[in-house]
Amino acid sequence: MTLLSIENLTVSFDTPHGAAHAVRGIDLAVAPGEILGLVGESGSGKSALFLATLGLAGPRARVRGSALFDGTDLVGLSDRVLSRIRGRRVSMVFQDPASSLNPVMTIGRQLDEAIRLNRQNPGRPGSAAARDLLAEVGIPDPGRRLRSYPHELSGGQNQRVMIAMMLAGNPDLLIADEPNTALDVTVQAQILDLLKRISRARGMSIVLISHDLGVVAQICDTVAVMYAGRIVESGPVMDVFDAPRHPYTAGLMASRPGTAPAGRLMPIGGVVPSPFEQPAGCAFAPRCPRRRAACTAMPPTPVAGGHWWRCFNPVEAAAAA
Amino acid sequence: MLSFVLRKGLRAGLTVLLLATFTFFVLRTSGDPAVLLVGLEAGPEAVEAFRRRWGLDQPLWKQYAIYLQQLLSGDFGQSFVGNRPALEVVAERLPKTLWLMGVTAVVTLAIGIPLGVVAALRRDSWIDRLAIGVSVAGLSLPNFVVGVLLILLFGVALMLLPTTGSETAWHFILPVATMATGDAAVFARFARSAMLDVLNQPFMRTASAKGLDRRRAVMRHAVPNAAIPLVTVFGLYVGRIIVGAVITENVFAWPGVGSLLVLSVETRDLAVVQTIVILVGVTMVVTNITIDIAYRWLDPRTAEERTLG
Repeated sequence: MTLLSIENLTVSFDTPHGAAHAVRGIDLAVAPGEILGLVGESGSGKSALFLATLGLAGPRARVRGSALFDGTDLVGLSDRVLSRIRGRRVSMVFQDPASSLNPVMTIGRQLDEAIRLNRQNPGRPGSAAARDLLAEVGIPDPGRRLRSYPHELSGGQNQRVMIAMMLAGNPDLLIADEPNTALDVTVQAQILDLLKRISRARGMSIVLISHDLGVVAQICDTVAVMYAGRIVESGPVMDVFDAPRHPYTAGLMASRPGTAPAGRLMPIGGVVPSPFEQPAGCAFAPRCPRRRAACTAMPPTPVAGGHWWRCFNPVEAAAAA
Repeated sequence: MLSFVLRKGLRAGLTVLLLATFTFFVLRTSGDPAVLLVGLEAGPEAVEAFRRRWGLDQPLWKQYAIYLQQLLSGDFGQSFVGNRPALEVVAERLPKTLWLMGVTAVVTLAIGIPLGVVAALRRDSWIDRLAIGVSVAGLSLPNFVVGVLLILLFGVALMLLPTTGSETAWHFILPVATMATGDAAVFARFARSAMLDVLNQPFMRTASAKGLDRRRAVMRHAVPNAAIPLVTVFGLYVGRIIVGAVITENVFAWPGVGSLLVLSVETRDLAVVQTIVILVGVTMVVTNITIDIAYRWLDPRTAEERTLG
């Protein structure tokens, strides 16, 4: 049973220099109540994937493929129809909480707006509903906070407000796009705990977009690793992290601080391919230490299973473990 | 808040005082009204009598002291020409000017701001290019040129519209068009850039993510934020529209304060000129204070900074 089923989805952006390919064909499934981690470096297309699917990527985005959410294909829906799905069925929180809230509206008015938009019986503005949401996300003295403006709150509190606002419509799926990157380390952990607690309490699925493997390991059930617009490896979080099979995943694991021997970082050499190029083979091949002749000729097909990867010459399970 | 009002009030008073002083001395040292009004042929006795009659025979500092004293008691002096209070002369003309400026401001904002908003929403479309093109033209053509061109076209060539006076609603069309075209273009430009700025802010994406469609996200979240910089532009605009009214009233023989100002300078009717300058000064000071207050009301972040600083 799946809540969201993405098939062969591509996203490109019209630019003066031609089409920039952000997502180059992705298959992904999210089960009800599941927390899925989507990992990749900047520019790997992990944010563009969901922004474009929800119609939030701007007028220059071109989306192809399908994204079946509870039986409805989100690709190609008009803004008006999508706006009724956003907030009610699928919500999204973003990286920078301070600038993601309207600076000239009180927290209370922004929450009330989300409640009125997404609930059948919203009650009166300023009612208990907004206070309850703030309490659920752990904001102390919520009644007083409703009258505050975003600039009067800390980054962590603003992110809690964002989450509360996105919970107003009781969605089935929350996309959390780097929700703690802009926050202090201690606050980061609190936000992660909060997301996990809410997911379990409400049975709500979460897609956690992050470049931080530690974050994903901490709260996710499954993980998908993206590179240059494709998923290169996916599976249950423990399987993938204990025994990464794709050389890129293995490289990411080795480049984490504190994992390499003698405290030295092991960077992955080379750079991410340009979004304007369309490599014939595996996009990671130019940087891959395990490259073979076939790798630059044609893209590898995924090896099926709960834990799968897209590689002609995967890292041996025993060696990685 | 109290110290805010106090500080603003003191500064406003000082501004008006400096303005009154400056106007007083510039007018007194730039020509003799007695000779002009009485006429050289009337003889030196008549000129001397005129000087004594209006206190112009006193030393300059004494005239200034008397002027300030009168001003503080609400007396703006006598008009040499009309031989009655200068304030009365100005007040008579004021409604005509206020009507002209009011109608112009409404037309300017009603055209300029929606045009800028639409241009921003349809960036790089024909309407965007048109708005930018018109605004460059509007900025580069001075009021008096636009006015004369409009008179030639609609008054002389087509004979469709009246070009002098202020009797009917028809009389408004050409002066208002003269003043509004350029400034509407300026507002369109500022509204466009303010909107583009706001539309790229992350909170606009949040507004969509919480379930607002594009139109409602723009109306509820983008427009109020874009209004903040436009308030500053409006403050500058009040100054522009006063200058515009002076020029336009003279081009179209509109019987308002603007044409009175030029007439009074020509006849060296000192008290009337001073009264008008002070009136304009007070208007600008009041505008600035209003804008400060509007700013604090529109943008809660400013209120915070001011209280701290």
